[in-house]
Amino acid sequence: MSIEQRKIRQYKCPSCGGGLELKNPRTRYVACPYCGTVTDVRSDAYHILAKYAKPSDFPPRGFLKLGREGIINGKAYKIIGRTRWRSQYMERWDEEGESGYEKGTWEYDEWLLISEDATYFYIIEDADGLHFSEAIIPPYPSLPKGRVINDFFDNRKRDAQEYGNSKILYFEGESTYLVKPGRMVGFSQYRTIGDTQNASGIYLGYSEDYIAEWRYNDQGKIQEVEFFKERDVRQGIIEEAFMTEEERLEKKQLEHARLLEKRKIRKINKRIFQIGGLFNLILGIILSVMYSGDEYSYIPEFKQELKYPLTATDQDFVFKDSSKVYVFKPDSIIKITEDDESVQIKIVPEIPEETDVLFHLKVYSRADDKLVFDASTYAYDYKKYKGDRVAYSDGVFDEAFSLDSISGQYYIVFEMELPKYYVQKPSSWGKPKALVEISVRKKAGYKGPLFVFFGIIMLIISLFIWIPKIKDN
Amino acid sequence: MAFKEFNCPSCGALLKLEYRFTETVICPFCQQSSHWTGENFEAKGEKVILADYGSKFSVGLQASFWGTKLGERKEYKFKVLGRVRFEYNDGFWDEWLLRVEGYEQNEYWLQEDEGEFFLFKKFDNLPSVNEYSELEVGMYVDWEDYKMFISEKAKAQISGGEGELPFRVIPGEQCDFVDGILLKEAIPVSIEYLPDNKKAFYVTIFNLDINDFVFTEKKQENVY
Repeated sequence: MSIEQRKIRQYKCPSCGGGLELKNPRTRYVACPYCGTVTDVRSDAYHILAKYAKPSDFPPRGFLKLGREGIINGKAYKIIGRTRWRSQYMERWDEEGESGYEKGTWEYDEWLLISEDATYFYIIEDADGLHFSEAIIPPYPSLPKGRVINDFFDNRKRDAQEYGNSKILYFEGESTYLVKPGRMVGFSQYRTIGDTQNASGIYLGYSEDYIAEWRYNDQGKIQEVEFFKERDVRQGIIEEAFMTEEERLEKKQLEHARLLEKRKIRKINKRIFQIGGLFNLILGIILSVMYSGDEYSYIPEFKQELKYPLTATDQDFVFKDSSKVYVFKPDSIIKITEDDESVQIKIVPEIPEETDVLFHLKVYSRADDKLVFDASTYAYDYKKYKGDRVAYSDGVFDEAFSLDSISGQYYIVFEMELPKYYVQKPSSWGKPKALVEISVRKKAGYKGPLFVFFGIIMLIISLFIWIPKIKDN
Repeated sequence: MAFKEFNCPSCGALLKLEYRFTETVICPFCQQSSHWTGENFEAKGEKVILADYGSKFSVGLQASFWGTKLGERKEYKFKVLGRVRFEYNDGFWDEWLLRVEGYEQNEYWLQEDEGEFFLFKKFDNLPSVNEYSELEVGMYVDWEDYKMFISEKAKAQISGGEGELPFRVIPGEQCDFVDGILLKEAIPVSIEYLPDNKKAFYVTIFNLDINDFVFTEKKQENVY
């Protein structure tokens, strides 16, 4: 009787005696997991075919390993073999209109998977990640030569992305094809990026490699050329598909622990924002109530046309707040000088100490009523920037105002130099050409609304701090 | 329906033949191959049992597949009459002889290749088919109105058979093959160089997936 009679499931490695069990009944070549010896299990005396390195010398790169089971495209597969190949190849480069080829070496693992109905599937794993490899029958097959490879689908000549040959470095598990050491295959491939369509005619964004691979017989002649399509697959998809129950449980526990930690941090953050928000809100309300008498308001009290030459006006500038009365004499605060080119207006309002007075100066051109200068101080600016010049731009002039202290009193100084275009001599116009408008804004208790605002913002943020829920299972 | 009955020349078991073109019968009881001599069956070659590898198919199986031809998807009923196992330096493969209902005059072979199934139709002794020695992988050759790309060329042998077969099978006999792809059509074709200088040309009629088959009877447990 012939060897076909044997129904091989278990056998002993002829080299080291280690017990082995076959996963795939179609298998012919098996590597011993202990010593790396590859045996032709269908030969009469378990012919030793090759001796590769021990599995510990070529550990898997990542997650995939022999024996893993998982579901791909609805079909259950088991990983039964791995071949490590080393490629020596020429790779095309293309830069700034120039192109060429450069030498490279590359290693990759070819994982063999068998399904429950004895069909095969290959996953390629290399430093770039994982790829599904699928054998195809192209309408325009050819044997690529050198740098040229014909497109599988329209037969036009393409530049090979890579071409070269690969050798077996290592093998473990079971194989359906001959895994002789040093066995070489030639290959050439091109890449399409985003120009492939799915069945509905929608262009797919990912790249696909189209590979022609040929191998030689013992006489050195090409025995077979095969065509493949390779597509990247995300590590996560494979992990999800091939995880064992224990790993799934472990992952779940890890995720649970991570979730707990996340919940803890989120809870603390939420509390910080809640307490901070409430604190600001309360502080703001208290401040607002305390300063409730000092409403935020504009008091446009003073509006005066500039007389030319400037003469003191009888009209005093007066405003009151809840406790004080302020009086400004415009002739003491507005000084105008001129030279051949321009008119300088210097307004030095005397500011009582510890006030929140806002000065607002506008200068209009009388020719066309256009606003030519608009500057204001903001509350407390004069304290903060005392002695500094503060850059200011109104979009027309780059102006500045400065703060000064004259004999112990605080002053705000608006200093500007206006082209005479805006302030014409009255002799030619008969009328003053500029209007100085000083408006005073009394503002107090503004800190209250500010704190209220921040408080509300923090409370709103705290509402958006989501605390992940923990499922019971 | 059996059209012929005879006793196995080796063990005497009663064998009922269903296939009109049977040249070889392998006794399911003693695995003896017998050849039709024109008058009776004569035992030939050694007894071989083919190791099981977990195929969904088996001799005697009646099932159907859904195939698309000229744009029409249709269910084809078939019965598996026999199987031949070929072996070459890279391993082995099986081919299943099918009798397809409504097409009993044709010879169909189902080949399983890494999860894909090719149903080949046989064309006998076409004069235009090249000799084995004339062909090399990478060549293009003309066949009728088609151009064929040669994708594989290898020496193989028949390691055994099962059931009824339309040619004489002796285990261990040489059976070289050349595989190709019809240009533009993407149709796999195969040339087998059988003993006695016979050449058989096979053209894929259907390229099927396991899901295209409808198995009514449960045949096999999972392979692992």
